[in-house]
Amino acid sequence: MNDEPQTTTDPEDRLTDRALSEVLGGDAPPDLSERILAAASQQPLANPVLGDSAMNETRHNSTSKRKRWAIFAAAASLFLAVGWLVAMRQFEDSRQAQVSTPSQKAQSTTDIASPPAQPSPQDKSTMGVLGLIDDAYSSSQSGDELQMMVEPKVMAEVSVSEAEAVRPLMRFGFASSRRSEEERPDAGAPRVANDIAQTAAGRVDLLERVPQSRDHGGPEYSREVRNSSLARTSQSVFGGGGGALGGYDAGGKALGGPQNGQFSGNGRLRFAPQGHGYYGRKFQNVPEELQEVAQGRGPGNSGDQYTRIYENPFIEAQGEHAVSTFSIDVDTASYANVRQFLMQSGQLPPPDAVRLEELVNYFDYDYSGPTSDVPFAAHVEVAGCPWQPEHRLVRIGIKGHEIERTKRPQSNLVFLIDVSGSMNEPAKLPLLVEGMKMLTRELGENDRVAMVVYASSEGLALPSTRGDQQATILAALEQLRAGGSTAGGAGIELAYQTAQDNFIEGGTNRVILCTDGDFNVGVTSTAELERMA
Amino acid sequence: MRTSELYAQQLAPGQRFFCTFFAPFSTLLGTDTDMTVVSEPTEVTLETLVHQFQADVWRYLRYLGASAADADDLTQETFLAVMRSAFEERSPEQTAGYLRTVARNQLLMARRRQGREVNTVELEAAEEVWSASIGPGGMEDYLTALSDCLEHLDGRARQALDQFYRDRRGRAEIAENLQMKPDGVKSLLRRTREILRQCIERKKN
Repeated sequence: MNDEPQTTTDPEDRLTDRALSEVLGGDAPPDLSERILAAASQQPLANPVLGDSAMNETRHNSTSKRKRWAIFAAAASLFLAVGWLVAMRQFEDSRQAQVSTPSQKAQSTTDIASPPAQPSPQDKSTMGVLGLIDDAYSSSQSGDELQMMVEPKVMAEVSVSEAEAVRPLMRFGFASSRRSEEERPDAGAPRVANDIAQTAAGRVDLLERVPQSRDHGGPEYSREVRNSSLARTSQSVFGGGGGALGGYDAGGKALGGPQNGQFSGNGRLRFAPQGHGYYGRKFQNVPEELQEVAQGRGPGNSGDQYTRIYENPFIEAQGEHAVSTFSIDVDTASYANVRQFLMQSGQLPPPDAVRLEELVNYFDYDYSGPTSDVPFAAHVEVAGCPWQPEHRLVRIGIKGHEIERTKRPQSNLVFLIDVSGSMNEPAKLPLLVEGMKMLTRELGENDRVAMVVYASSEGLALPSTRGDQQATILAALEQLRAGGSTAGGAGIELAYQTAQDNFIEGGTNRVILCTDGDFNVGVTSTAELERMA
Repeated sequence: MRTSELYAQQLAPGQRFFCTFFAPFSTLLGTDTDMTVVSEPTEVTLETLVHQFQADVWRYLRYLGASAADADDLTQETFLAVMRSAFEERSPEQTAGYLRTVARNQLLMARRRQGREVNTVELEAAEEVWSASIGPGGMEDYLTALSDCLEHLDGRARQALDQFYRDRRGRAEIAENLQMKPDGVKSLLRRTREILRQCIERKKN
């Protein structure tokens, strides 16, 4: 959260200042009605009635009575539900015992209070919640086991693809007896149900250990334990900050920071240059073409694509393996993406869209920064591992120096905006424009911003403009429209040329690429585009 | 408020028990219960509240120091918090005051989450000034009065205001344009705002 720099501290003066900003500066309140009402419609209403106070008073007086009736009704419902289950079980038993003769069969249907007809498939989820029996369960199940199996029954309706996706959620303390990709049996709904059933009963040790191959000493966990963050060239750590470290340019090259030395604190970890260590070497040796794309169909077709995440086994931290390397990466996009899948689309995200380090990095841990001239402070904590008592969990938080907003260097920004047809969705170009507007409001007279658009061809939508010319910048953003195919390569060339033409020595010069990543004309490979950049 | 609660209001005790107990099973058995909805959906009322007060809540948050983007978020959070609370609308003034209080608390919580220093005294002083300066008509009346007062302002004072607020120029540039010192520009702006406040106060009285 960034506050506005106050022109005055006197509240009366500030009020007039605010009014002048609106009357003369055009800083009028936006229309947030739709946004607020949309958010409200997704919220559960606790006591949302804002209308007649008399009705509110009547409702308030009857709240306690309602609660008593609700408790009584819930107890009665539970009693009847149990009775119904018992009756159903008896009915099934009696039917099985009496099917030998038609007459006996007819008798059974009239003597026993007829239970409800077998539910239609769309009601199975409700039936599962109530614990009603279907053909999947043996009549010999006890009540306790039946209760335990209610939840798995609901989960059994999950499709295979969703069952595959739910496994990442199971990694944090749920049962897993999976082996390698080759040994794992066909994933499916019954297997998911079994895992959860076993978890509920607490009978399965979590994160079952499997024998390790000869290449590595010591035991290793099953693939459920994710340490893929250590296997990636660009990795993430807990915590934020890092401004004084110099950050990274667009190509991921570090602009400064420690190369090999101890950090402030009492830890004994060492940081080795990037690329060293077991995990760095292992990932860098995987050719790009073998980094399987989880979704999407590549050039010529559209779709979200996620680079396949290959999990690495644990290794003993001994000898040359006692060094961990990671670059400082505070990306948080995966959390927002996963949240969108869950909250807006109502579906589980693709497994490779779930980058754990970005989920962790999304939240602010309020780490304190360095108190001396060291570039950053590290906060280390070791705790017991809840799912494996003999193991330990280590949390390492890194915090660099905070840079005051008033002291940030001048910025030369070039927005390279994809306006192809694939961006013509409410959650793409319009959302991007709103984000750009928010960024624009943060710019000042010492900043410069330009806009390059690309679709079938590229063009300079806004020449490099001073950041305080906000009306001009906002007008250019408002005129953006989506359409055409996506030839991003040409746009990148123009964007970098524009940035170079307005280069600020000692400032922050950046080309900000805004796209859904769907290049389908010309240069389409990520590696080629990176090389071009 | 849940549908079952709405239904329970209208019915006799015996019927309430029956319907509350019966409602979960109605979908299974495919039967309909004869019930009547008592009150209107609240979204209409919330919509009215939003349309009437959303702009001033945003202005208030900006006045307290929130950035434009944060003001957008905090405005939304304010109305959602009000929606979740046991708020009862009595008068527009009371509602406006309540919304400001909620907005102020949202800002405080956001600052605390960020680990920033919280000056509650300053916020309380700002609230006092706002409630004293902004009448029942909200900020619109204040802005209208300010626009009228601006029409009577000319000379370097008006030039300084235009360059600072409309053209977004820095003090150094304004000083150069008006052939003044940067500190002089700062003083000029402060004095001009004081003059405008007095003008607004006269119009209000």
